[in-house]
Amino acid sequence: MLGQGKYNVYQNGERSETIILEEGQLGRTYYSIEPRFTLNYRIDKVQSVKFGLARNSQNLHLLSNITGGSPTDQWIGNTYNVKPEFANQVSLGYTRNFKEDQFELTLETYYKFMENQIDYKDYADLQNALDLEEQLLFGIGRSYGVEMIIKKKTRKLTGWISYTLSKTERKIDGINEGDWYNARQDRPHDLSIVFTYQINPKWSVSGLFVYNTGNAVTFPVGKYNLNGQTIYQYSARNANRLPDYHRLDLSVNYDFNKRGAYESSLNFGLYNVYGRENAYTIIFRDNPDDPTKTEAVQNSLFRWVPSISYNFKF
Amino acid sequence: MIELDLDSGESKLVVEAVITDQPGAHYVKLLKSVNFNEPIVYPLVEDVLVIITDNTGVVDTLQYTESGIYQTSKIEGVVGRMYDLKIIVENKTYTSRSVMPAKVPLDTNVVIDFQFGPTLLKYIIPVYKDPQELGNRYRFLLTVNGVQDKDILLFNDNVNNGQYNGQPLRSSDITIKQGDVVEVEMQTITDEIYNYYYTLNQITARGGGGGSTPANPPSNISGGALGNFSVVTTQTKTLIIP
Repeated sequence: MLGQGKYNVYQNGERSETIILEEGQLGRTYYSIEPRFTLNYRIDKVQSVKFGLARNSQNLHLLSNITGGSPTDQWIGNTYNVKPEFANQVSLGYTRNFKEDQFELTLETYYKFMENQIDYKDYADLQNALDLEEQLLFGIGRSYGVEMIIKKKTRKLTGWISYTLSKTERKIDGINEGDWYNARQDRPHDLSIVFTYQINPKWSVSGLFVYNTGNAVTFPVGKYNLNGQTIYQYSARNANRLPDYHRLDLSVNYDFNKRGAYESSLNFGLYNVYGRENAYTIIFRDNPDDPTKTEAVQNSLFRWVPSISYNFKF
Repeated sequence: MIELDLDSGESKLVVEAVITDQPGAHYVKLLKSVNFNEPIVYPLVEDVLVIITDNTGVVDTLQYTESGIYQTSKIEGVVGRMYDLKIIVENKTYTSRSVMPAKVPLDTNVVIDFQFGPTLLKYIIPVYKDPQELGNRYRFLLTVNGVQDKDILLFNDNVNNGQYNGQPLRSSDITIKQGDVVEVEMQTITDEIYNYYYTLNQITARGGGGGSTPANPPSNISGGALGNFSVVTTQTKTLIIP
């Protein structure tokens, strides 16, 4: 940290100290080393295994609110309270080629242990807080999973299918009674399919399909009445899910004849071919037409987005 | 609008228990929470054991009346007295303890005008002198022309301890106009109740999330119930907005 300024230090969300730095004065500094180790072993012509150890640090931190309402993401640097986040990862992978390198299969499994993880405390007030850091709590995290990728690298049809099954959690004193809970970015299932089919030297078709589990969020699970008002009941931090996200994009490409060094192509695309309304925000409210009911209202950003592009190289 | 597949929330006991320094009867209202997607019809918790005792030896077993409401017959609300609440529902026991906070007289209410663009807004300043001891907590409830204001209005003495209050009541629910008949109820509340309503305000004020991290407000009732045990002093002054 570099002065000048006034910096509050918090312990378990309570201010314990205020540090005043003069202009140009150096305050808290952090040093991190990031050792990495990888080992590749070729079993034979078509098979290999890979082992990796790595420690990474992160000095800019994403703060995400966990409701279904307007996502209020913001970034924060290291401070007296916010320390560099560390991820210690061990991974093991296996790769095999098939049919004279036409296909390549990769399987990988990993386990990550994370230090200095950050999250908002319960009821954190993001709009009126004088000092955002007062609203933060710190703890540990873990992430583990398996990844599978099949690539087809030659002939008319090329592309890949990748699928990841994973879990990402945090454990922070003061949140979820100190037990492990889902990190917002926890997405147990993540699938993507990418392909390009070359019909003839001029025409080709490409597609992309993605599917992933919705983000972990905190939604009301129930409701009750107190002093004549409806109050929502919650279960645990990030124990609920946004709806699954999926989408298909398609495009058609036409290559014009080369003229010397000049190459050009025309591309017609359609984003979100089947018009999936993926959730951007979800809010909860009393039904305006029937006050005996409450409802969840979802907002989506885009349905179909067509595109035309002309590409050239010279 | 969408049909969200929400988890079925565990149906929990909801306690609205109130003792004031006014003459009884005081009450405890018991119901159960329902799933988010269900209509707002709350199951009542009828004919269970509800006991309030105080530190002078009074033991009061509350009588069930109707609509989930149980009434006291002996307990009196007195400043400084300690109250224990005990509720037994389906072999589970819920307890809470609270001391009635000091009463602070509400001297008068002053109305101020505030020009906000083309509109003239009117705010009420409740005039009272905060006591010398630190830690006084206040809740105000407005009733405008017979309609209860839905906002949660809370004051503390963190910055103006021991001084006359100069802060207006700013409701985001009801706008006060000239000629309105306004009842201003001033409660002194405990720190636990202040925190309960402060956090409740955080999670409800912006449509159930968006600006804050939602969780159930911290209840002062042990055993896993929702709601709270409010032991408060109360006084009401009515004024006509000039």
